[in-house]
Amino acid sequence: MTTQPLVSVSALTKKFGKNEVLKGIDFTIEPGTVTAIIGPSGSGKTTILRSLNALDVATTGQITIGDVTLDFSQKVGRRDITALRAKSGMVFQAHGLFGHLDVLQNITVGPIVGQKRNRKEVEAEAIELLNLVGLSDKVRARIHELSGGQQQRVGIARALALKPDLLLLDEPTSALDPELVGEVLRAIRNLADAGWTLVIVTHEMQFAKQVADQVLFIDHGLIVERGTAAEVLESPKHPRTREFLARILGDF
Amino acid sequence: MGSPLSWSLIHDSLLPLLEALLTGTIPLTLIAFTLGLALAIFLALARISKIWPLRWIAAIYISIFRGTPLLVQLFIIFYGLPAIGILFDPWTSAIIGFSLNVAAYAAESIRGAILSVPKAQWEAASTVGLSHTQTLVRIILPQAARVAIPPLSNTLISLVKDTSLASTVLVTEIFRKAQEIAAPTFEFFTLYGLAAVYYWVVSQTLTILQQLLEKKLSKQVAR
Repeated sequence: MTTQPLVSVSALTKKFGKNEVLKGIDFTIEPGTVTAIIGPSGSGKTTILRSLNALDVATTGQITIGDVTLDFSQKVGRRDITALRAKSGMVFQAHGLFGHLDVLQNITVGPIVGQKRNRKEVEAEAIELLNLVGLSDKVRARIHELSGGQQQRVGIARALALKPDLLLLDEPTSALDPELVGEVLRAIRNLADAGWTLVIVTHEMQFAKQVADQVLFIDHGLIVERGTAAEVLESPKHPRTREFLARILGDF
Repeated sequence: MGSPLSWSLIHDSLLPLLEALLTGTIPLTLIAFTLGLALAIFLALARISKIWPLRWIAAIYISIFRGTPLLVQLFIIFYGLPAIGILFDPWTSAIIGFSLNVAAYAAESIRGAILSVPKAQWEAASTVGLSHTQTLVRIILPQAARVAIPPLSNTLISLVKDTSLASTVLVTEIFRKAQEIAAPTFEFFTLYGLAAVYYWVVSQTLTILQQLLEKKLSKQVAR
């Protein structure tokens, strides 16, 4: 049985001025799977994620998510960008929560104001989501009263409240104190178990090994190696992948 | 030579001056500040707009109203404009003059405050499906307000004292009242001193209110 991929990216390039950050990226994502994007800093992995959410608008190439396809060789309008952006939820490295709103308002402002959905319904869903990420006792807390790990989990709930087709996580634990990493990874793992399609840029190799169905190793704007977690992380074929893994796994 | 202060005159002048404060100075300040603030928000947005003519218009406006004396602006509106057939009564002239002037100063404070909100907030708002305008109104301006409060409070306190200039375009506010009472009695020291005390009390009250507001809003730190 073959399934239709949820995401397909082909020949994607992105230039910032003269600097070509992505040099032709191709991959697909099956629904309900977890894709981990790994690679050295500056390799372009975050740009891939931001392109999927149209925070960075690609220079050429194509992105399809569900029923939305954008061809970046042609002119892409604001409406196209909004349509693509609505397909995915984004979780940032530094949570990017709204400091003047409480936890519940952070989660509901998008659905209520942006999507014009019914407040009661959205709030009920938001409370369920807070339950899912283990923060049901923080509904009315202010953002600055939360720990970094709690803030990151609010960020996840906020992204999920938009009912996206997939969730993009940009190094969700890199800005956290080590003792707070576990709780966020657990929350992400729960999402994977619940069947969410996830794309996560991460340096947590153990986590990627356990949770990812697919791993992309990016270097210098290209996918150097792509495969299952076991293939890429345990028996990498490409010397650059081996070198990177040796470095990041602390093999000094 | 007796005391430079005439206690009986102070006693008799307290109420008339208070009345002029409550019916002249304070309403003039509040109306001009409210209108000026509304205009200032538009000017600030125009100053950071992507549309260059808007940026220019706002920049020229701010340059003119900050670059010329308030007294001159009031005189042009009240004494100058009738020459080209535009006539305003004293109160209208004063409200127009103070509002336009305050808007130029407040616009720069608001612009700085908007720019101080981290860019990540715009991005985060766009990923949760908010439009540009929704982001501005729901996310950016509320957080900018906190940053803008100290400079805007300064502008407000200056405005309270600047309204004394309205006396020159025949508005009966507290300073003009003091002049009126002082003229026949020659008790300038007493009357102007008393007016100064009233101004100080109002300014000090506003300073305390500012501190309370800042304390309240500092509990909502944006990161």
